[in-house]
Amino acid sequence: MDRKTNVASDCSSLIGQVRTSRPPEGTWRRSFSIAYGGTTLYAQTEQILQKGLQCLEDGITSIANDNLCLIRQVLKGYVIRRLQFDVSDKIFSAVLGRCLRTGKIECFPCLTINGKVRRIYVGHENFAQFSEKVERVRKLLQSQTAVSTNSIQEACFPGRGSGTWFMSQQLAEYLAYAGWAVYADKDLFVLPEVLGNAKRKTL
Amino acid sequence: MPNAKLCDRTLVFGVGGWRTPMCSHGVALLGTDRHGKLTRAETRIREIQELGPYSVVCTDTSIGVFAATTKIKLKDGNSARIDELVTDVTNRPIWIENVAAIPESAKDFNLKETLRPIAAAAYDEEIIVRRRSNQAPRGEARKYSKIAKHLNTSFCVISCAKFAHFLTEDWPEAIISLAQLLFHDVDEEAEQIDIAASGFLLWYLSALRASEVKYVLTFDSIQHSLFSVVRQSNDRRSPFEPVRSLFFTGEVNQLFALEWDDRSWSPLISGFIAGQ
Repeated sequence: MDRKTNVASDCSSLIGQVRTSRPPEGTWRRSFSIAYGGTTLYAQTEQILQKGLQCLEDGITSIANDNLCLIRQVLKGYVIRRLQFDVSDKIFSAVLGRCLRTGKIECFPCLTINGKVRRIYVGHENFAQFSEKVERVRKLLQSQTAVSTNSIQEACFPGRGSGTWFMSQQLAEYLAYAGWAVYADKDLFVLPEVLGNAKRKTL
Repeated sequence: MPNAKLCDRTLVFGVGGWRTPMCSHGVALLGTDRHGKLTRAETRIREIQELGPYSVVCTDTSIGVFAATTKIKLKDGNSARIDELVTDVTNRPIWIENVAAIPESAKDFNLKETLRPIAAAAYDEEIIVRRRSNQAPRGEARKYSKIAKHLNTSFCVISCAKFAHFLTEDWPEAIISLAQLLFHDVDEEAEQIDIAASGFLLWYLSALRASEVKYVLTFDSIQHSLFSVVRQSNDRRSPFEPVRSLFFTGEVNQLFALEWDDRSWSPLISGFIAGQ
């Protein structure tokens, strides 16, 4: 086994010992707990609890920093793949919430074509890059009649790496939430007329 | 010398209402004295060089954005640094003293500044915001705004001059109508306001109090929130409330030190009392 696989296996073994409820009386000699928001997490020893949660937190932040922006399900999927362990939704949510609370990950609202709000997650190390790409898409919208997700991908991710089409779509959805883009179709965006017609000082 | 660290998104309270520290140099501010009464005091503001995240503190009746190193007064009379509260994992409830102050006027209400974080564009004469509300504009809102639809999205174009006129006539009504125009959710029967527009939200809460409307705020989760939902509620409120959501977000642009002379006086900062 290489070092990376060892780390993943250590992590999954530790996280596997973390519970979201106190086990029945007599199961553990002692139990330790920590509160992450509304969820209290338990383990048999303080070391298991702290190390296990730290492993998961590190996994989540490193995945978020390796990708520009991700929706929750994809973020969780990547974390599971890296740790080679299926984390329960409740534990994942508690630790993701902890990352948001401490500012290691930022959450942004996006507008779907159905008018629903969905959240995307951006690692702290990617804030500047995320803002820079948002600005690039805004300029694209100002210079073209309509902008497709493909053309956003071409402009922002010329290497067209894995997952970048979805990231391009999320950048446009973020702009739609902010009111800087309007859906012409599910993956085609235009500058809102109300902004395009104006020849005044913008933000 | 007593002082409080503030960030560019923290609002201080004067006779003209909530204002940013940048616009508050040499202005007398309101705060609580040793008896808990709201009194005015001369303060000084200077910019300081310090980096760190914004910290958002949310309770049932107020919301404030601060620097991580800002201190606020707790229920037990002690002060706590916000970054220490954010990183706390003991699950003990944190109770904060809220001050439901109502401004004498809305002289310091700045439409452009309060809506800028969520505006699609802010011009000198009008502000354009994508409407979160699905309710048709009603009453006075039709006089200062128009709706511009493009495909499946609707925008609200607010005339700054017309809104300013309404604001001088009846400021609480003007701000309440603007909140309903932009943020009212018919299904929820409440206003869902972006935390990014915390300045506007604070003014809206003051307007509700001035109109004697009782309300309660709810948030997405304890650890982080993008929105605050403002609902009418007849529950009795105490000045001491538990923190409902508390988190870091983004990086501060500017940091300030607010200084004053009397140790027994503490300024109001975004609905809470500054600690020392």
